[in-house]
Amino acid sequence: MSDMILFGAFPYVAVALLISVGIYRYCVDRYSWSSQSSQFLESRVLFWGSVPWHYAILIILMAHFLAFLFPSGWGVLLGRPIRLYLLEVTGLGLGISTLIALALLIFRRVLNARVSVVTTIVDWLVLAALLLQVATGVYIAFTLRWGSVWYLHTATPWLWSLVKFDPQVQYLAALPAVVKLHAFNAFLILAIFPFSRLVHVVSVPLSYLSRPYQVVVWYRERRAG
Amino acid sequence: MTRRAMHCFTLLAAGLLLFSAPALAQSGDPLRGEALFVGTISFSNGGAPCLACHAIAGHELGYASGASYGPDLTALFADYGEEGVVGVLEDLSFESMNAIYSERPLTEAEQADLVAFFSSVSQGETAHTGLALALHTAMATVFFLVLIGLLGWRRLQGVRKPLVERTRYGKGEIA
Amino acid sequence: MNIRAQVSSVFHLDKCIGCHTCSIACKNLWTDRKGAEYMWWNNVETKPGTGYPTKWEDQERYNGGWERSGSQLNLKLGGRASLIGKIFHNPSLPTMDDYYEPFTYRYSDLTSAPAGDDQPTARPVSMVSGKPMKIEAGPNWDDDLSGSNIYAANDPGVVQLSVEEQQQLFAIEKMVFFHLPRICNHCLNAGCVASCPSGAIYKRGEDGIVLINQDKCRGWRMCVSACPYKKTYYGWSSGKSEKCILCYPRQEAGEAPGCFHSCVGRIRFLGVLLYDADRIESAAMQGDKELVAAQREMILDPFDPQVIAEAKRSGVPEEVVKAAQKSPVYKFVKEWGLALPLHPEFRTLPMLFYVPPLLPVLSMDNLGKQKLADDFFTTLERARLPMQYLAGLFAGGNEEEVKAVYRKLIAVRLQRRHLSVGDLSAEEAAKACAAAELNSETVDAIYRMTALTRIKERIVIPPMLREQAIEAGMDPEQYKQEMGFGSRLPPKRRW
Repeated sequence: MSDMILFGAFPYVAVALLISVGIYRYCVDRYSWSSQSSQFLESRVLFWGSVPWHYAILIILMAHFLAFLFPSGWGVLLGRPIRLYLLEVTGLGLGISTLIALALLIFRRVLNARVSVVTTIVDWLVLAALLLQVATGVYIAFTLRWGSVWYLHTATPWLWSLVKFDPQVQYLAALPAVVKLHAFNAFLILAIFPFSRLVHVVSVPLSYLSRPYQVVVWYRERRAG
Repeated sequence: MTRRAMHCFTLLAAGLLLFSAPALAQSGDPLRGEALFVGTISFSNGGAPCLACHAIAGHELGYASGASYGPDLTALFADYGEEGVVGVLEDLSFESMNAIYSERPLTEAEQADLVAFFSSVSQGETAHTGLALALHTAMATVFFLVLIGLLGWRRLQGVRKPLVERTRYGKGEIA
Repeated sequence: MNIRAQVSSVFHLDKCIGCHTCSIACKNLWTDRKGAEYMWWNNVETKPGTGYPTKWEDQERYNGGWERSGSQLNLKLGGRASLIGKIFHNPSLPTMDDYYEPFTYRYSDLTSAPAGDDQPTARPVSMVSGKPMKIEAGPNWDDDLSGSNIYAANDPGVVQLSVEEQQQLFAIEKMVFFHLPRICNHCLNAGCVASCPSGAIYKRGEDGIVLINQDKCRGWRMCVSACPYKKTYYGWSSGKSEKCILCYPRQEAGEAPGCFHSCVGRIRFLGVLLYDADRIESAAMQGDKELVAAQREMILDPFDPQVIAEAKRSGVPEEVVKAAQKSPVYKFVKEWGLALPLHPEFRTLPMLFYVPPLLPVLSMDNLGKQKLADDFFTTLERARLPMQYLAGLFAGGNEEEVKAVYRKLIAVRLQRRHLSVGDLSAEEAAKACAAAELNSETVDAIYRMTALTRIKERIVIPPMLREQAIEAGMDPEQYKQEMGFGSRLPPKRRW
């Protein structure tokens, strides 16, 4: 029963919050939509926190998404022992890096008076949830090998069952508690997402690559001749 | 450890029950069995390859052979015999495997290949995957952080404070 | 031809007394709130000096502005893809320490401290963390501090001078300085606009004012680095970048911008310039020393019938063309060639121009006694502020541009001396005019515009015609609340 609530119902609550609050915030309070960078207040430690954190977590997240979206391709990729091992080492290395980076970011927010001032309660909540997520992830990857493969046969069918509105929680029910915590916390982060600075994630400015450098805005269309 | 003990017990019970099953080891292909074990060939019903969770020794699998989620299967054939293994492979009804394999059972040919594969190995040291993984991970982490460090090589390191300090304490002209 | 109008300005540095009234007016209007205390959209610097933020002119450090590579103009900060790659940590972002940490004093301690042996004091506290702090910098920390071995000696323009020139510049009793008020230049080829990954920064088509759409800004901070003048600021509390808005809400109501209106020395002139937008790129591509001329070339004569016709075709309203004809900025920049852009070599085509200061330039030799025209021009070579320094500030290193301006300023000076004091002969004044290639009527006009004009002549705000722009073919009700500020939520962190 508790499995059904945690893994069958809560994900929908989390995604519903994500979408509804996200849209509400975007429409009503777009001014608040920002990365809330604190580099201006402290730059050096931030470099060693922010840069490894972002690059590593992006790669790790991409791996999770790819394994969810293209399980058969992912299975073929891991079908050779050497590729499997290399991917696990890479993933774990990046995982450790996120852990180090996140620890730095947290210490920075605690110890630097200026940065501490611009940290809200939600920020602390986000940091705690991310730390828990990264720590459980690294623990799982190291002790319950090989997560990159069994993910395809547990998490992937579970996630797809959620997508199809037919939650199959038995895929998670038999897994160790730490994996369940990892899965639950992932959706908890999604639930916090729209209330926090995490919203900057959906503002990846890829359109910058193709727009002209100079932007000129006319109050209305220019009067032709 | 308790899960491992429980698995052993289940395997033992299954082995005893199916003591007189027909010989499959002859008809299966051990190479194909290995490919199925590793996942190079996927199970036709979509079940997870054994290497996802189980370690096995004595094959050219390198450190990848050291999965740690489930029990080590190196001595499976030696401990339970062909009938025992076949009985297990038929339904794979362990708590954590049930969800995966109840709807994706192994076909008879796959079972035969796996049995042949298991029979081809029964002893040997499992690779020290945990240690190697820790070491290699540490190397990967250092490599990644060094890479990041190179990115940060020529960053703005503050202008006013160094300027004031160097001028005030006479540490030469600021470049 | 693609004609656009630009509200631009001229600051006459000879008239600036460095009183900071403009800065205070601006602060009270726009940046007197949490997260913006350290911002000075208008600030006044002492030159030679390191300015605010410290050494902002040194683009080897800050990587602001543009650079030419082959036939292309690239942001010094990096290409588009590399800029997005740097989004997690901006490599060229100055921190608060390079500006200053805003502070206040615990005044309440003066009255609430318990009785004791010592006088109560008001300790300085940081306006960021609220903790007691040591005040080590301010927005005008080196105010009037010429000769300082920290600030003046490290002026990026001074560093380039020879040792001899530096010694001469800072010799006791010969020490010299002038003030440099700075606001956003509302550039034609703005670095901030080009660098914004979100596309939040834009130039208003009608008047050329550069603004940051606060709802689109995501706080990536690239604009702060890419602006070579460091005139966009990151709001550390709101997580949004902000900059000078040239008081557009005041201008739309026909009022002068706050800093212009409050200027005690009446150094500020504002007016419309018409320019050819098709020439922006080619002008910005010129060599360092040709940039001033190229920019002047882009500015079009609002009296030329062909320009008027083209302007109409490009959608510039007739009223704006009329305002351009009355523009004092057009006179200073184009007609008289007296005003120069600040650091044109950053290639952003800044639209704020400066009349360089004459007084600090004149040689010590003629202090106290008026010299003749010949002497003036020879002393120009031995000026107290080396021409190279001024050329580095206002002409991309082109000393001829600066000298030409000084010849004109001297001609005005001598003609007025002749007319008002009478101890100079008419021939001397005429000689100076001839050297400056000015006729005496123009000299008189320059004198009038510089010294005698009233605010309506100095500050010619074009009719913004917002109401017309809306009413033609649209429902005005729909736009009723969008005049001036669109956003009505307070600028602070809520989530």
